[in-house]
Amino acid sequence: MKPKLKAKHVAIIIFAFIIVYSFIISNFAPYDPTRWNTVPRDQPPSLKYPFGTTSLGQDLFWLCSLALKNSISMAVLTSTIGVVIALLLGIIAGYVRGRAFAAMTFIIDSFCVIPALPILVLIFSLIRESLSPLLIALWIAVFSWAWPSRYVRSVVLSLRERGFTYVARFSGYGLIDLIRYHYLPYIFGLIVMSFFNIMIWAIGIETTLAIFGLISLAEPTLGLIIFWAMNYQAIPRNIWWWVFFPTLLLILLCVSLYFILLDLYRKYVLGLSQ
Amino acid sequence: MPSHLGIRSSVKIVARNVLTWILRRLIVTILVVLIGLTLLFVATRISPRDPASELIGRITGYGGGLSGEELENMRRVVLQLYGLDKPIHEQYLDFLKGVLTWNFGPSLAFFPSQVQDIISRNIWWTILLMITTLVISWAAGILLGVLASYFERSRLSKAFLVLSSALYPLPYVILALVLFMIFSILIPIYKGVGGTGFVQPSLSWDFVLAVISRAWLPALSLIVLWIAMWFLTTYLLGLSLKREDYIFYAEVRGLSRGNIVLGYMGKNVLLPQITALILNLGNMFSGALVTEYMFSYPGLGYLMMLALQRADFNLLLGICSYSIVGVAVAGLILDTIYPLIDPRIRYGFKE
Amino acid sequence: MSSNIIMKINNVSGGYDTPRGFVSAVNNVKLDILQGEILGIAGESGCGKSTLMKIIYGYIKPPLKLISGEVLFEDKIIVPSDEKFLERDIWWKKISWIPQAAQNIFNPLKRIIDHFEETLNTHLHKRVTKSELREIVEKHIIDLGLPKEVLDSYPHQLSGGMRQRVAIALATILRPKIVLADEPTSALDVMTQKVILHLFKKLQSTQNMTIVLVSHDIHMLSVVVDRIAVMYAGEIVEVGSIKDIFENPLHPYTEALIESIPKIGEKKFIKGLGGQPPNLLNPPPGCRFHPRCRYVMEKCKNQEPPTVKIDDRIVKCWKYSS
Repeated sequence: MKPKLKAKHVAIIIFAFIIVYSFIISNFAPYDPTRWNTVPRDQPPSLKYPFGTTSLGQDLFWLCSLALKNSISMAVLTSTIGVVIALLLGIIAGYVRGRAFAAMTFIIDSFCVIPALPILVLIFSLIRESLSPLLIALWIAVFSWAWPSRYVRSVVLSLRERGFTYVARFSGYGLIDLIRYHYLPYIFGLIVMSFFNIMIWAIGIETTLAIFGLISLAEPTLGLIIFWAMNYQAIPRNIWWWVFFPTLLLILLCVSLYFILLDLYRKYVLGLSQ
Repeated sequence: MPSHLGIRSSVKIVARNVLTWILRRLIVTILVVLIGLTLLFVATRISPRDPASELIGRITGYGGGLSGEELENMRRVVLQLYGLDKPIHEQYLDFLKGVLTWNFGPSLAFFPSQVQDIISRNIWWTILLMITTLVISWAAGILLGVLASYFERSRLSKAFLVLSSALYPLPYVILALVLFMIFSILIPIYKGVGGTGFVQPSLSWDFVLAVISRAWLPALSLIVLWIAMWFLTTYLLGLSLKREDYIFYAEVRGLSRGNIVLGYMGKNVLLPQITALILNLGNMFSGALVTEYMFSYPGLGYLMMLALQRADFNLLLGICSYSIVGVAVAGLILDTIYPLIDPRIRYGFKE
Repeated sequence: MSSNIIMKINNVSGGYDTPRGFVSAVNNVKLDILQGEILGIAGESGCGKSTLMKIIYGYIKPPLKLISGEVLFEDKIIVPSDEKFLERDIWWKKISWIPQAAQNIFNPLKRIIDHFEETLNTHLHKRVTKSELREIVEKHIIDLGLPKEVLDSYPHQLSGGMRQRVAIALATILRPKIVLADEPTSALDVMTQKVILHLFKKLQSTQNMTIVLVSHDIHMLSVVVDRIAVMYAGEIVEVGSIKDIFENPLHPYTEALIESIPKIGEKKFIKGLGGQPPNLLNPPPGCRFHPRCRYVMEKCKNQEPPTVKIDDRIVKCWKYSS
């Protein structure tokens, strides 16, 4: 089979660049990118300032590098918490029967239906002063688990119906062992996929909240940069690069993550059905 | 000859099945609303500080120029609103009562206008936007998805797949920004951003044109993302549906492509996608709010922006409550369509 | 029953393109089907029966591929040919298909009458009103012993056996000359099997319909067929009348097959056939049965045996040719 340049290869390359740019290059910043007036203001992109500078006198290139790192880290933190909750509830929901099953299904579906954003906006407007990355991740995670846990539940359900569960139960396997030896191999792929899934969603939510001005941290995220840009009327004043580069980075991040996720889906989910 | 059929298609049976179904969904909807409101209530009580003084502090911080008397009014209202002197379960019940009687109290930013009045005025804009964009993108996405999944190998299908995959993961804010930058700056044809007064509704062409000129870009933003979403989910569903025996049998019978795509794949994709729609209403609604915010489209999203700017907590609470109830009710309405389409509900599940 | 040949399968070979290689599911099949007969094709799971059916019918979609050979119907080539031609002129009108009993062949959201209507509308070239259509369908249904209430029900309201009978009705509504039936009775209870086999007999006697029945259940086949073709590893190894096959099997595989069927009253110890069917990704050279054959000779191992005619029987084995 001839090796073709497929979308997923492009996605992995882009994602690799993103990781390098955010986690490695950010360490080499010659100055603290968040501090104001380190460089001349409102400079368009040039060789000296590849992404231009902001109205606050910040070098956008180094600023974005740091902010991207923070955006990703925040999403990873959120995703970790969310995946744990999703796994827990999803496995329980898939395993129990009868009334308990109905109850679990109901709870999960409710959290899917309830619109998360307005409530998060409310919450964040209240706790605006006492934010920390952990708290942000926690609150976003609270709303992130519903859809992934539906998916976990359906996989566990189909696993449960398969022969080996009955055999194992009849031969005295406890629930924990059952999970560990029989389910976990299937669930591993599930974990990875749910993780990426929540990550993409979390990036979106965090960016949205930041643009609404609800996230006020010293450590900037890409959403926060856009917020400042909008606050300082960057677009009417033609300082387009201040909005353009964070937006571009976000697009690249989300799309590359999603293509990787799709590839995982093809491997694990469609592979499972064979 | 013994009957293998057990068909009970009398009208009475059908009616009973349908009513049972609707009743069950109604109860579920009520419970969902309760859970949502409880969540909301918990959310309002999470701040460690006294929300009343905090609010007042924030309001005075924003727009100094309130006389001492007005401040006192506000303080009294806020205290009353939260009943902070009462035990927590009473507060909860009061909160629920408020929602059920559709009374959310006065808006803090537009004092003394009542929150429910403000929301009622603007909600029609949101409803208009959502219904048109939702119908268009759901229908188009499903149609394209079915076609693309049946004609899996065609280049057009693959192109759509890649395009949708690139659009779907984008956050609403980002797409809104991109579209705004394209159509306001690059090709300046979009006007209407900038929260000027709300156009007075009237049945005239002027009004309709005004609405369209205001709404087309946020609508486009939503349609693009939603078509991508529905295309992708339908496509994946269609791929697995294609392998069903009845598709094979339709093909060997020589049925036309059109019949197979629409009558077989299309129809069978519809049911799960209605369920998916109901479950996704919350997400889609949130997306609409965010998009309205970005374009200052005079719906709930815009109100949300104002509420945030002016620390109007009541308005925010009202918007959240409306959202929860609205989404649940919309879901219920869609639920009632189900029995019309799924014969298994009308005639009972057999075997 | 005339001895007119209605369908000729000439040296058909085909298989599946898989990531691991080409699976040779059907190899050099030569078979003549007589007008008005009920022909059974017997073989174990995985021997290529369903693939052969698909090729005969002309339903060849990737990864299925026709390598060589052709199928003639009434002396006209129908495979390989343009799918449009098949859809328009052959499928359902001249040749039709009855699916496996276990399959969900009906659209869950359409009533049974809708299935008939759309089939008729697709194939009839004159405009027929809805009520005329209904009349035609009702008459046909009742002819085949089904209650007409079936037409207004949805598939999920019918039992498996009833669905299969409806499938037969649907397959015969246009009075095709040949009906291909792939495992039509597996997964059904014995009583329903009997009803369905009766149906086949009736179709043969009243409409002179030719029926090709494919099954792994040689016993079921023996109840109703006139001739049997035995299939192994993608090849037809023997063809003969029911009597001949059961009383005097020629091919070693048929021999082992018949031997393994317990007869009432017999107390003999039944020997099974050792070994396994070959992997069709890499079939054995020469005769595909040679690794399991008790009569295996040197030339069986590297030369494909010719198909030989003995009286009115056919056998593909080196034992019967020099």
